[in-house]
Amino acid sequence: MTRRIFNSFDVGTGKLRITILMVVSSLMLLVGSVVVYLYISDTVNVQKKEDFKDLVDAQIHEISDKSDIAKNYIYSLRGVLQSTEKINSVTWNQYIQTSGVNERYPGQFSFFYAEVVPKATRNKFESEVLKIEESQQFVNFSIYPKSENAFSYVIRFIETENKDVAELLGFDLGTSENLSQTMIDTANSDKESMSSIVNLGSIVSSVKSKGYVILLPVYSNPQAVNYPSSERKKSIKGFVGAWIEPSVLFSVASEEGLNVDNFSLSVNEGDLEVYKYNFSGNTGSLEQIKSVDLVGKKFTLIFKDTKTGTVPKFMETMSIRILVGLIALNFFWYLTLFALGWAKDKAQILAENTLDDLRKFKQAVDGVSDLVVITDGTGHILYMNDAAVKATGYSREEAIGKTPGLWGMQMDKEFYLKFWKTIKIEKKSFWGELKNRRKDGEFYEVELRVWPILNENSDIVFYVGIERDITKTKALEKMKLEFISLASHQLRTPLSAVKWFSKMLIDGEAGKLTKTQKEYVDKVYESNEREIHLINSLLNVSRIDSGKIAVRNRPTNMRDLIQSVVGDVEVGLSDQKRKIDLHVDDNIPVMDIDPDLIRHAYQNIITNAVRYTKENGKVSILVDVKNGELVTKISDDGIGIPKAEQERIFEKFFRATNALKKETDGNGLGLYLAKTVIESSGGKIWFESSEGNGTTFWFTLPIKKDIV
Amino acid sequence: MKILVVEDDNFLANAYRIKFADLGYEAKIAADGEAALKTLETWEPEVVVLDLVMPNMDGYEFLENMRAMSKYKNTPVLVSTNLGQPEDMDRAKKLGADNYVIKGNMSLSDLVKKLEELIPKTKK
Repeated sequence: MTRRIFNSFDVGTGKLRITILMVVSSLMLLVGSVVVYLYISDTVNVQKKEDFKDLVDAQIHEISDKSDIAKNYIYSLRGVLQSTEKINSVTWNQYIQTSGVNERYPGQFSFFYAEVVPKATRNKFESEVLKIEESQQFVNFSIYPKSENAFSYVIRFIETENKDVAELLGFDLGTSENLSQTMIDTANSDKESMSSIVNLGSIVSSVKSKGYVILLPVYSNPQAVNYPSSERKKSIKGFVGAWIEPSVLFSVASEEGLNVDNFSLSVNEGDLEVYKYNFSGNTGSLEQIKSVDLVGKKFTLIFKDTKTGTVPKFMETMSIRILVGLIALNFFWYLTLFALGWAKDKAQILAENTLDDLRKFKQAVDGVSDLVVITDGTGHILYMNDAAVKATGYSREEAIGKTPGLWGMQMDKEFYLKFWKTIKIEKKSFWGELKNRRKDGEFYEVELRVWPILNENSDIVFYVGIERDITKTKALEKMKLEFISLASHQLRTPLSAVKWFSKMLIDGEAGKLTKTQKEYVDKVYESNEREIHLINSLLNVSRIDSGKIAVRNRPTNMRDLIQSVVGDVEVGLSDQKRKIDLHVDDNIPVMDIDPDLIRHAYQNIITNAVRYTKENGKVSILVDVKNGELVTKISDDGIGIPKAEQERIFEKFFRATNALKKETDGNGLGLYLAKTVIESSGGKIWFESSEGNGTTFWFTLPIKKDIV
Repeated sequence: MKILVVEDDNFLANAYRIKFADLGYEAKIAADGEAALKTLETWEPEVVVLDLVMPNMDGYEFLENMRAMSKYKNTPVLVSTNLGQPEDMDRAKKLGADNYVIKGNMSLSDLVKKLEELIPKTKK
């Protein structure tokens, strides 16, 4: 049981468990954080890739659409041009307007028609055009550049919003190698054909535009498309063409939810870069290269995302935010673990300190000289210290589990009834002196103190008993008292002889003394009296100091007692001029007090009053009953007590400095004894004094009602 | 009046002797309890003045023995001693002392008065 009490503070397993918990939970959180981060950043990347792919696909689709639009328009223009004998600018414009291309794709496309003109009719053609187009306010129309070719392919009509392209009116397509080849291609295949990129600056030096030309042959007979190739080619009367610039063809269009600002494109025709959008060195991680066939021509499109990405900014920074969040979470978790660890360390230190304290405490209790016995609530011994083992003679093995009755039960029944009533029912500590019996049968006396130890429900969980072996103390006390007693006897005996003989001399029992003889014998007698008084006082002090002031009350007539004391004191006053006024109330009852002790008190205080009052002074004594107490007031008009010494006046052997000057023979015990006697009898004593003006002492003694 | 004084101190014994002689009392002095018991065998006092602290046999033992003798069951005994403890007084009174005085606190004349107070008891 004692082992259980002292070992319950072991924290070893708890420590390991907390450490493992800390490490495992930290690792789990770390791994979890990494997984979450990877998952989120992967999701973001996948999203980013998908968005990029969607955007690329959308652009490819858009580009194909653009070339298809141009293609479709030239086919429809060819149909119109083949079915019409005579075409002028007005009708051309009407065809264009009817198609609605300018409304739907304003400024994006230019269309033209180039007519086949034999070299011989070139001048005639020019003048005819001017003539036909007179109403159109044509100021000039000339074929350029003038070549030596057998045929010229002269741009006769043109529909454009581009001023540069408008300059092509009258241009001979056959003078351009690039366009000649395109014409051959389309003539051979009877399918639209697209030129390589045309730099208008190489045709008209003042302009800059670049673009692609898509051509389709126009036949004089609409049926010619069904003719064999050579026949068909012979019926070609011109070419219808579309002009489309790379910025239109490859224009990057925004798609819903996709941001093309984070997107770049480079278009290459062979090794030549023909178009660039947002394309700089500032590229991101995503790239897609697409090969696209546009009107029979191959283009390489390189799509890249920029560093800011093609996903929304929020999504882009999401993983970073999550990462920061996770780091913060980890940080707080470590902080929590740290705090927990810190708290645990503190708790552990506290527990260890407590355990350490308990060990020290146990060692101390084991080793103290007093007997310490701890029992459970039913009085069965749980623990006893070394002193208890030694004093009782019972080993721990013999005693633990049994009750202290093993060595006790030597007192009467009443003692134990009171004992159990105090500690078990009242749950208070018990104090008492009792006799026990050792295992070897020897008796020993102890001073016992037992405390019940209560839990929070006020149930008794333990009793702690401390016993002090007072056998020796008791013996010592007895010896001391015997010594005091004997010493006082031995000291008083010769003094008694002196007292008796000198008194007999004074009383003239040995014959009448001369005045001088009597005076001398009086001195002997007085001096002897003082000695006796001193011894009596010392005897009383010794008894008080040994706690042996026994108050032996008996019914006492207070008036008689006080008058007797005053009478005794007055005897000593006979040759002096001091006076004692005594007033004793008539209603003073017979009191249950110790007359011998109380007599001392009166005697000492009245003697003091007389001794220290003035030459012609007066001592007044007033005794009456107040509030169930006997109150005695003794005042003198003497030297008083110096203020600074008043608080020491009841001390043993203390004498006030002014009293020492006046009377050298006081012993400093009178007031000490008086106070002790009065307090032992249940009374109180106090005084008022001012130096030079006298002192008044008051003291009270309780009047017990049942004694009358 | 026949007084037995049991007193071991010579000076005090002398004082008693002188005082009682002056008063015309017949007094015998015994120096201890043993001597006093012997005296009692041959001489019957009317009153006993008894010291307590004495060699050989102390006052208590003497008192016990004396009271055990039927003849002296009621003979008044004044304990005159310088032992002043309440325990001593109690013990002496239990053993049959009639009064108790402390020599140092009393003149011999006063002691005689106390002694005389005890006398009528024997006359009953």
